[in-house]
Amino acid sequence: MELAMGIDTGGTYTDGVIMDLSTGRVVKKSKSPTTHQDLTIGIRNCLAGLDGGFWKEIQLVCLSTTLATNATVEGKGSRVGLICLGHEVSESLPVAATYCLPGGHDIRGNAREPLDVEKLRDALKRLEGKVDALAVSGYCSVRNPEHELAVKDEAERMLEVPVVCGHQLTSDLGFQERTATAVLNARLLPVISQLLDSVQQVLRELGVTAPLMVVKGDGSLVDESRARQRPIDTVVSGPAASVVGATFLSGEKDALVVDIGGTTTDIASLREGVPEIHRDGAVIGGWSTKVQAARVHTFGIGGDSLVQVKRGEVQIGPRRVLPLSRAVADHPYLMEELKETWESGEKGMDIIDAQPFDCYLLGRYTPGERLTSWEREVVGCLAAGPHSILHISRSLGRDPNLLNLKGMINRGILLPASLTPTDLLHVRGTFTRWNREVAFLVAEMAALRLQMKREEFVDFVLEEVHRKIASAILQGLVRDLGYQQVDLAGETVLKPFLERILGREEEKFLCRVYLEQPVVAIGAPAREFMPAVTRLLNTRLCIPEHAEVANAIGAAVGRVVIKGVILVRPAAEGGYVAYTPWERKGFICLEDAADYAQRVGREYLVREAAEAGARDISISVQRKDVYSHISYPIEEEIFVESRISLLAVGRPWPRQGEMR
Amino acid sequence: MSLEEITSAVIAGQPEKVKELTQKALDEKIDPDSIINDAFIAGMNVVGKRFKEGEMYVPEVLMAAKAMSAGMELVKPLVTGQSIPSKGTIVIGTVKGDLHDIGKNLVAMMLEGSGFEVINLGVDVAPERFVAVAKEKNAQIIGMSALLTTTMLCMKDTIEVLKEEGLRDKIKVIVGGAPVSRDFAEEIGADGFAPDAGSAADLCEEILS
Repeated sequence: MELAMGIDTGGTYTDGVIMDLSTGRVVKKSKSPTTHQDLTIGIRNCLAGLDGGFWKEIQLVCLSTTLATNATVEGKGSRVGLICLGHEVSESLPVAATYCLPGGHDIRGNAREPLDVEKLRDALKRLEGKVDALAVSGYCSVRNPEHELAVKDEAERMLEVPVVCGHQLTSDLGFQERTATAVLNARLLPVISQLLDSVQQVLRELGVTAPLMVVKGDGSLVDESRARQRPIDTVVSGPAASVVGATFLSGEKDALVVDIGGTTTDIASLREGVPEIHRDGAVIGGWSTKVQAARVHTFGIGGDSLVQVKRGEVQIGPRRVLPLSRAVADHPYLMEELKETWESGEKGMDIIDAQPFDCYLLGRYTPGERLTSWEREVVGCLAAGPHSILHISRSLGRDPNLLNLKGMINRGILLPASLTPTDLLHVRGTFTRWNREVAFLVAEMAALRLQMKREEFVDFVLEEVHRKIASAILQGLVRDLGYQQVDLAGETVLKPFLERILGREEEKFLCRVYLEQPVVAIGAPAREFMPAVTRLLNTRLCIPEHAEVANAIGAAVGRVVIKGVILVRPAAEGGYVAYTPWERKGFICLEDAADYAQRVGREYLVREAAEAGARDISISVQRKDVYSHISYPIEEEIFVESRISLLAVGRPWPRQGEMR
Repeated sequence: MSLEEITSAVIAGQPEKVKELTQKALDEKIDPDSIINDAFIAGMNVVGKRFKEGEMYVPEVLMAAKAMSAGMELVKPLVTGQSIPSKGTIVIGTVKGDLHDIGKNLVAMMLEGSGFEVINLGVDVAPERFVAVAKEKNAQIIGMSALLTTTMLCMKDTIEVLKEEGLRDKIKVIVGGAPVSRDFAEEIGADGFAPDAGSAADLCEEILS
């Protein structure tokens, strides 16, 4: 047995799982509410649910946590000083003080102006005792980090606080985002350390001695000591972990992961076991950063999407409502009110922005929030419990068209309950957790508005749901290809083709798509919707078991991945320059530069992978020379650059006898 | 008199005649905006199309542009700055280390002729300067030209400076010049490439639409 434990502290639940990696079997799983005030309590409860006498045998513990994300959003963290070199930040950042000093480089890595050591020492002196950490960011520092490194040296000596440099966290251009990444990383240093300390404490108490690793935003794992230095990498790891977990459960290496929830459908891609990464960095707590995160496309279609019948047409989503079957399960008297609606002549009436069977619940109302006198009346009417729209209209003596509830719904004071795909599944009998009787009644009422039979209506709407999900998947794939602006449903030229792809039309010609990747589906309604969706898209479907703890599984089965790139480019003054993540170095001939880049690239990968906690490391260093065609003065190819792509993948697994 | 006469004189590249006719039009109280749009720009549009199709050659285009400028000198003082219709602002120049500017100036004139506001930075323009001016003038497009295979790589530098400054999404980049190919433009990540001055204006309109 090779036992690994995965823990995911998500927004709502803390999930835990013990897996036997030699067989891929889930040995134990557990779910507990996340305790936001102190995550360790939730983790402790979750681990209690995993107890099976395995503690001593566990060889690896992997943690995926939203703590760093939450701390950033809530503005928690240490006091950070920021030193910018040669450029100012364009958007303010959460720092105690900023100094913008002379320095920085041009895009080719030549110093634009020398670093002013006197001014630097002066600034550091003023920061003394006022900050717990320092962030340093230089203009074009990813093309030459010498100034950032010089500041780091000086600052560590003078201030004795941790110093974070922009170029060490990313090799991407983008001064503002790089600076934000460095600042947020510096703020998070104590936050992540506290969490890891207390998790290690909990593990020690249980007798677990295995090494602890943390999931990064790209789904890969990193040793806890590394995570303490680079907490920003662990932000937004949830989606990536869920993609890794879902595909592991399905046994696929390349797959499209579709997570259908109540409100949304989230779509992500996994290639060769690694989630595809968003080209731009993640936005965290409102700040754009260079943090690598899984690329997830979100669409407003889910089990609880509002189904509206309007002017003979059906519209599904993007708004989410409470399914009526669920509302009636919680408040049975609503059934009586809806029966009254059915028996009265009002079942077929048209109401602006509503349907005659809608019900309303009181949502969140913050005391002190200003309400108009009418709004107070509505709130009063619902204080004792939810009611149907016609009941509200009668008790308040106003026409249902004049109730004017939209504003209160938008502010979250009222929660509408209405017809949803979930209710239609109750009619069909494939999903019947809540009240079926109301589902029959409401589907009948809605069907009447389309002059359809009830069963015919249910089939029709559910088919539309399948088409909507299929079309969302296609839209996600098109965006993956780089067509960010293309809206498939809005492109009229595509309509005849899309209608046929989605099976709405068959006249004159047929049109089919064949998805390259299989689909792995998770989420509550996946079993109901996805078989039809994958039939439309002509691909395999896998709905794995244990999907409810996919995040924790993704943590447990993650790998260590180190990526990087070294560029070799012709220099303006002749010769070649290699831009590595730690220096800029000149050469006379290309081959020397490229050989050097490949050699140090390999050394870098070995070093980084070992520090990240990897074993059995496989390393790939690939050189790609880029040429471009020109036709003047003669037809020839000119050299643009050499790209040395660095990739190391390893198992986060101690060899026999190498346990700590 | 009719504006068509001015248009013909612009196309024919007759600065003196354009000047004379424009003055006459102004004396007849013809709206200056209309002279610019319906006479000058209309003429340059024809010139652009003919040049693109090989019916006109560089010297003729230069003469047409000169003719238009001659007329413009008379009209410009009469219209306030903002009422000159502009399709957008373009910063244009020859890249660092390169002094060739005939083609680039031709493009600048064609763009001006079709209603863009053009800021011509001249030759030997550093990447940072392109970006700084574009930022200051709120330009939508940076246009770069190079004749030398050794300098054309500087175009990529400008695109990368835009990335470092976080402006890559806001400012489009077009490139041109004898050695520049579509392949090269794509390789360095430019938004557009035009093989000749005549197509440059169409390209800019397409990019901004």
